[in-house]
Parts: sequence; structure tokens; C-alpha cells
Amino acid sequence: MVTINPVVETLTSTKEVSLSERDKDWIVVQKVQAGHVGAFDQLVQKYRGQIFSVVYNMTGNREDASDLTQEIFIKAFQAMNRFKGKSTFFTWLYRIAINNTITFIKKTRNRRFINYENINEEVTAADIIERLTAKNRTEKAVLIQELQERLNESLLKLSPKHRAVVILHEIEGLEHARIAEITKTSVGTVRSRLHYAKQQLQIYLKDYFG
Amino acid sequence: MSDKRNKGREEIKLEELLRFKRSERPDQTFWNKFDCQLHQRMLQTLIKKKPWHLQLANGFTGLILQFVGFALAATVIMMLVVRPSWVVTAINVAFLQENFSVAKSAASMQVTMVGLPQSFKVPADYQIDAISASEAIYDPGFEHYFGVDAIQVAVNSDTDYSDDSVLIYTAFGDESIASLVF
Repeated sequence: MVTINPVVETLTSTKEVSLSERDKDWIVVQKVQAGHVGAFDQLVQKYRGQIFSVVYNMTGNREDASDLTQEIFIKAFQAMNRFKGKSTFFTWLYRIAINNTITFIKKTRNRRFINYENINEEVTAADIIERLTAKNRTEKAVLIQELQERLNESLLKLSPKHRAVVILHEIEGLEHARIAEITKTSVGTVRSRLHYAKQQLQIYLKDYFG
Repeated sequence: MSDKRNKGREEIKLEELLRFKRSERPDQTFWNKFDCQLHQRMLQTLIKKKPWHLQLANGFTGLILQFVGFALAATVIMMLVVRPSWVVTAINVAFLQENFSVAKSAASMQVTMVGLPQSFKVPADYQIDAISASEAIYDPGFEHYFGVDAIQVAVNSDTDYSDDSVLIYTAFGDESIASLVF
């Protein structure tokens, strides 16, 4: 089912996290560390969309992503006193998210249940959908559903580590260096994983090219 | 219209397809439910008690740590406050080094008990005989009574050399000062 959601959330990840942004987070973190539990809600409101997006694209399941995102925030809250501000809160939270999601995927390897999220056509998909519709001469709604399924299936065929890199770079728009920081690997490793993952996706989605 | 057709003919890139995933966003109803569930779970986490076995383990570990702490503190206090009389102090060590040199004349040596109260002080009724090899050579009154100078050295014979030995006479002859038997 395709619903049009007029609410367009800005992709914060595509913006650069400025120093002031880092400072703002640090102030809130210090409040939480001092015992102001309510201050944590500010961080949840700020990052829930991005964390959910990563987890959803990693798992391919809306309900699992919701549960897992909540769990990630609870773990972050519990570990808040261990956060010393060496990295940005954003990087730290993403690291918790990626590690927990990979653990979840490994645990539920044999259980594959796909439950897709609604499409918000107004975000970025309009142009590509128009071109695909013109090319394939199919109905827009059918094409969108098909594309969504094919993309999710293709992503799920990748290993969790390759999947994480593709999602963080191509969907969330993070830079290589930031991904390396989150995944605790080198920039070279990130580039290599990205290259391999894209090669694989080209094969899985070959019907859409050419 | 012609622009649209041209666009359709354009090559579609993987990056563009993947960007389509950005459009999969939950609506506000989802977020309201999400926030409600998260608050409930956080409250549960805050008030949740640890399981009984963890509580017990924590309590037990705490008791052990307390006991070890008290024992350590008591030991340190004992070492600092109570010093037994037989413990050799720095002054005693200096005294011993000065007076118990082997090269000194042993006859004149008097052993004094240091560190004991006066009532426990006992007069020395013994002497320490010291043999100094270097002095013995030049002492005309010193009598050689060591007999034959010999060094017995074990010799490796095949695999077992425990019983095999050979007698080696030293090059010093009668002038040597001691016989060494290994």
C-alpha cells in the first residue's frame, strides 16, 4: 500500500555536523549524565528518524526496526555515563545502532520476514520514478511497489557489514571518514566494502539499468 | 513532454535507485506510537530490579571486598605501629656490617644484642673464629694441615657420568692453601 506523506523530514545526515551541533548535543548529554532524565528526550527526538532509517534499511522490517530503534535508545541511555565526548554523540549513537542491528541480523538469520515502510514520494523518488515509468511503460504505483521490493531484497542479500556501508553512504549520505569512525574501520576498508557492495547490487538490479 | 522521453532514455544509475530508499519514511502516527512505547520501556528499565542471583552475587562480592579491605588495613596498621624486637633495623644493619667483617680480628669481637631491652642483654660467652685465606699465607705461625691438594672433577663417560671421577692435582703443589673436592 502506498500512501503519500506530506511531512518531509530533512535528512540531517546529509548536512555536516558542525561544531555547534556537537556542542549542543554535549550540553544535553551532560544534563542527562547529571540526572535530568527528561533531557534525553531531546536526543531521541533529534535522532530517532535517522536511527530508524538505518535500522529499517538493514533489517527490511518495519516492526523489527521500531523495536530495535527503541532498544538502541535504551542502551544509549543506560551507557550515557560512559560517553566521555571523545567522538560526537551522533557517531556514538550510530555505532550502537549498527552494532546492535548486526547482532540482531545474525541472531535472526533464519527468520526473514519483510514488512515495508510507506513510501513518501515527495522526498527524492519523484524524478527516478518518472524516468522508470517512462522507460518501462508501467503504472506508477506498480512500479514503485516493485522497485521497493527489489531494492530491499537486494540489500538483504548483502552481508550485514557491506549492507551497513551502502546504507550509511548512499541512503544516509554519510562521508567515508564518518562511516569509518562509526564502524571502527579504515577509510580504505569502507571504500572497498562500498565498491564490492555496489558491484553486487548492480548484478541484483540489472533489469533497471541500460 | 519530449524532455520526459529523453529522461526515460537516460541511463539510470545505482545511486539514484538507492536514493529511492530515502522516501521510505514513517508517518506521524508511527512516531506517536514509537514515543509512547519508548517511554514505557525506559520507565521499566529505570525501575526494573536485577534478578535474585545477580543481587546475591553482588552482595557476596561486596562482603568479600569489605573483608579484604579490612584485612589489608589491619595488616598495614600492624606493620606500622607494632614492630617486633627481632626485626633488624637500619642501625643494626650498619652495626653488623661494621663489626662482623671476616677480615677483622675475630678475637676482639663482642656481639651485642641490639634492639632488646637492657634486661634481656646477655654477655657474649663465645668467640667467632674467622679464617682469612689471605692472612693465612703470610702468617708464619699458620700451619698447613690440608694434606694433598686435589680437585676432583666429574668426567663425562658415555651417557652416565655420575660415578666417574678423576683426581687432578693442582699446579700449586705444597704452596696451595686448600684442597677443593667437588
